[in-house]
Amino acid sequence: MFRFWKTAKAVANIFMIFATWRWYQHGFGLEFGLSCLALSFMWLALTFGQMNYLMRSLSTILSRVQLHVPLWFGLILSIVAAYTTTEPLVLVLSLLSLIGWISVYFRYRVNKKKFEKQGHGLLPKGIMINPPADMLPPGAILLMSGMIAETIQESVGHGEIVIPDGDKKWSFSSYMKYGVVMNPLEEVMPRRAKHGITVARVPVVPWTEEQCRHSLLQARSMLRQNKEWVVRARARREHVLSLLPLPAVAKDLVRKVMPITGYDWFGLILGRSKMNRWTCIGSVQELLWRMGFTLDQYFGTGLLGAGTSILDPILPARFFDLRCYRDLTEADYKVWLATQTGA
Amino acid sequence: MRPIRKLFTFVSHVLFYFLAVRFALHMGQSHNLAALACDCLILSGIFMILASSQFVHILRSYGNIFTRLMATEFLSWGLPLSVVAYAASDRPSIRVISAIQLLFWLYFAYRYQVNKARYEKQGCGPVPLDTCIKIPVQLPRPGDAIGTGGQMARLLHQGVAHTETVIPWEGRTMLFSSWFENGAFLNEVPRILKPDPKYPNYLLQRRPAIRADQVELMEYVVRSMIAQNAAYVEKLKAQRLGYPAFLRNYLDRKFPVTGYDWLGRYTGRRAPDHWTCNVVYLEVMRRSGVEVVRLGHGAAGLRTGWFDIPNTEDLRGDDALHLVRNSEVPALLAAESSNCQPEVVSDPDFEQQVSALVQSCTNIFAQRSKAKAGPVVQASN
Repeated sequence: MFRFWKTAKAVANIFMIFATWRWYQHGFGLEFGLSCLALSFMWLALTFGQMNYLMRSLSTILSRVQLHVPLWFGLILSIVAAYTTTEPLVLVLSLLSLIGWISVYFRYRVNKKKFEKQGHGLLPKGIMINPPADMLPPGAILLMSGMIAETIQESVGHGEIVIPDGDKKWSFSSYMKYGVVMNPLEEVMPRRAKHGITVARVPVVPWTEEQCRHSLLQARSMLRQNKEWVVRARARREHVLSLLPLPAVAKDLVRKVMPITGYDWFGLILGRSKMNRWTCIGSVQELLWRMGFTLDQYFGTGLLGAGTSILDPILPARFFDLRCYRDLTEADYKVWLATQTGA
Repeated sequence: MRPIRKLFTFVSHVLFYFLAVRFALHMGQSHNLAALACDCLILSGIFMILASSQFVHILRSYGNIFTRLMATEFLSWGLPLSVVAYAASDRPSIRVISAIQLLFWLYFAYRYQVNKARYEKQGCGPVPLDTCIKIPVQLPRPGDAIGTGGQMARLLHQGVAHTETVIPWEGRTMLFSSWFENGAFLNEVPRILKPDPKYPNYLLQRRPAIRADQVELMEYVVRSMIAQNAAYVEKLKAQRLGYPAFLRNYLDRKFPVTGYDWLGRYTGRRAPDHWTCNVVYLEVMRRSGVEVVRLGHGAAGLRTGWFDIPNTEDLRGDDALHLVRNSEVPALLAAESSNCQPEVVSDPDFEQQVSALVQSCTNIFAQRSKAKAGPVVQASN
């Protein structure tokens, strides 16, 4: 159903952009006020249709754009329609449309109180910032700020997942410089806390012992698979470079500009899911898929949700929308602290 | 390459049929013989390019019904079109080109017939000559695929059209697949491999065999898939209870909730928690970290998962899967009885490089501090 709704929403948005352009060009062949009213109502219907989703996912910039642009545009259209029309019915309807937009605005204001600005974007209010490593349960998804977050103007732009290994915990992800990595969690968290924000989402149903063991085997397997690909890809590229009549400087430049680290550079833009290389959050999603978690939505299904994996990067902020995970909050921290003190 | 091939096939077909309709409509108005020859030449040319680019693929995958249909389509259009182009034109250039096309189609038909002789009919369709269709139960090992005959094979006119995945299970070797009646389902090896002339089986053996860590992981993967499938069945049954009675009855009759992916049977999609038999094999391998041929790209190879049913025969496109022949069986059995470990071919240099990379990416902070400390230690030495 996720893909179906994604497709429906994408098609509706594209249709509305087209309708707006037609209105700008030809005004639908109606009286100006009436055409403004028609367009305003169409945008209002679309905004109401995806209101719940937009309110839930305010952390992502795309949702904020999808809310703000129609809101201000619709408000202006309704005012213009009311101001320019001479028909009493159109006037009444445009006032209704105005009320509709004002209600959207109020709902947005009320909902926005559930979020707070952190870093470059919004985060759910009460979420624990930089939680201690000991507090994180197996399977917790860590969402972190950083370079990508800054580029896309969101509070989080990098993702990792906690993998248990007996008494130890690993943080599993894919880095641009290294490809797939497994780092001790107690080293990752303080380092990340020094440079920015880390928040966590934890599984609603805690992982079982079997799932913990499975996750470790999966993480190791993905790490190895990724490195096997790196060795093969590097050998293949060296072979190709050796065949090309290029100076050594040019060959070095190719190696420097397009390093083969195991990170999925194309996936960063496309959102595709390959068998042996991933982006940071792509690796988290793949690990959960391989472990047999049926997430309520899978990201990176592609433009229009058609499965093409084209132009649909997997944004870490979208993981706030996963209903089988919940935010790790300050209240959880207090409970944990009390337990620790009690112990 | 596979998605590109599919995209090329799709685009060529769309172009061919679009032009064919356009030319036919145009011909109805003009009745010009020279134009007819030209049109036939273009149409035959499109299929000639497509057929020549897929020549090897068509010959290799003769067992697949879709390949056979495509070859028949090429010949039944290409031959008459080039003959008409030759007969209808009096321009030498067109005659020469159409003669070349005609020769190509004759060569294609000849090679196709010669290739046909490399297959024999087993069950409901062709399988390569000397294929071992009575597989000894000792032979399958984790990671292998078993193709079996049956209802789907009868429908598709193929020798085999159902896939069973060989997996390790509580110290034994078992088969795992998805059945219409049961969804994700475990089977004893002898139950599937019992000799039956109506239902031939063949074994696609993974060479080199998968590693021990992958075998260990596979059991976890299968257990999680069974649980995932059961949860899906429960969820869908609960969902259907909310439907109106007539709709529920209709759906239960046509698409019973068994855990089998009925939609995937026609589309070839990869759902997270319910699968067809072939997708089970692909999923088990992928989730166990075994690289496997990627099927079900969808129409036009665009990864949509639409109208691109993964077929058991398509698994033979995986270079690591080897079709076991009768002549190989004694040697394989001898190796099995002498308890030889399956051969895992690996290049020591490759292994060393992989191990070094794995090491360097496990705790990068320690590696970094080591790298920083390195020169100091050397200096102090």
